[in-house]
Amino acid sequence: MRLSALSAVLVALLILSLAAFMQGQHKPHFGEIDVERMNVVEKDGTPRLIFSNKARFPGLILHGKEYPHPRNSAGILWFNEEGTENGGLGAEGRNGPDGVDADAGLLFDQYDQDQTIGLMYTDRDGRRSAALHVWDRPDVPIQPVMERLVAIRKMPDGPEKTRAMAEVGKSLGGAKRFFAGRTPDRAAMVALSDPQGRPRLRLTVDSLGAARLEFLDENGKVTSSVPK
Amino acid sequence: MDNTLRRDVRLLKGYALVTSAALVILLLGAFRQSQQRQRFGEIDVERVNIVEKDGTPRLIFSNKARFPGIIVHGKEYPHPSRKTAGMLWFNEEGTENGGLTTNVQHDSSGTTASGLITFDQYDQDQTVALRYDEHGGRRSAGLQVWDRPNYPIGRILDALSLPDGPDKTRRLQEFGKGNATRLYAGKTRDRAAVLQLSDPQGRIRLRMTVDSAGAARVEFLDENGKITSSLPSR
Repeated sequence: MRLSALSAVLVALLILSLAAFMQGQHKPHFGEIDVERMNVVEKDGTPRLIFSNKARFPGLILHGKEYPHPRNSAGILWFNEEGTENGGLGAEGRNGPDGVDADAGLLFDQYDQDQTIGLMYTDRDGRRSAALHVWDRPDVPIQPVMERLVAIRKMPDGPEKTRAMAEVGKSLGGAKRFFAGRTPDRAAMVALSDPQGRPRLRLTVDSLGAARLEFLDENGKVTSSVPK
Repeated sequence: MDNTLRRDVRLLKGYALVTSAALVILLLGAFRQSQQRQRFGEIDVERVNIVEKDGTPRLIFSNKARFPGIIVHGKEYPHPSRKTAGMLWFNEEGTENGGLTTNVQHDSSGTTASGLITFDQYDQDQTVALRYDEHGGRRSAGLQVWDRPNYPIGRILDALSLPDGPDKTRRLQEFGKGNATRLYAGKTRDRAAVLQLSDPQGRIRLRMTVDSAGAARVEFLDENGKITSSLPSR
């Protein structure tokens, strides 16, 4: 009788460990989970989606290599087959001594480059913008630029470092080509810009309700408008 | 001999007691695990399905290898072209109604890359999206809005699974009708910034453009694409 009790225990243990083993093979099911960071990865470990809180938020991952990239937000990042970040969804906000400082965005990057399209909201102490943005980005990949930045950060402080930093800044360029939304000065606006990022065609309803369509030259001077 | 037996029995009793206690703790732990939220620091996963209690998917986060086909009313169809990782969302009826995907491929004609977030018309294809794509260095990125037909997309998916022949061709032609871009706002492959409004046949009728040389114009077009009026007036 004692023996049968013992074998019952052993059988139960066997079933439990089998269940635990099979859980590793099959899909586990959770009612609700809390997680600080979740990486959706390919079998070889290449990240494809990262959901993260602020504390564990990754740097900039390019071709599988992570570069320091301080960000204040929590959110989601997505990555292409090559393990390069190519967009994300982030939000942050705080009410500090200088007022509200908040940002949110949903952005997609040009291949091997910075963001090319996105929905963005920003709030600087009540001056708010919320809009669709489209950018041109350089034709060169961004990774060598990040490598250069890493090298520059190791340089001793001084005019040479400052100069190198300014040089790198230039190769991180881009031009806004399209804006549709609300501006910080409370206008609703659609603006189309040239490849140098200068608005050349603009539809506006300003904070007073005045509506106009304007054509602008490369110096920002209105050359024609409707209504006249 | 008697002593040995007694010792063995005592040992076994102790063993049974310890294992039984362990079992109870394990079972209790398993039970509580299913009742309470689990907490993780960081996890790696290849696919996550957010499901209703009955298993209806509402969100799927997946790598490329495990990415689902098109799920319509709980039935999964193979997707004709999707080779991406990302997220999909589903309505109460277990029908995919949008998603976020990204993609890159290299071949002899150059690099093809895309990024896309879409929302679908009920039981149909995407009706609004932010999208970027590039091919051989030519890039477009914009907000796009579509009209979609009134019939359920399951019909075209069923037609796609038919053997090739006149019946399949006819059905696909019929179901191809009623799809039209109504709005595009962003930049085009020929490096223009544009805002284009189209009629229900997908023909651009009002167009604002700043082209690659910086020239700006507003144009009204007829159904044949002929410019009938433009600004600035000359």
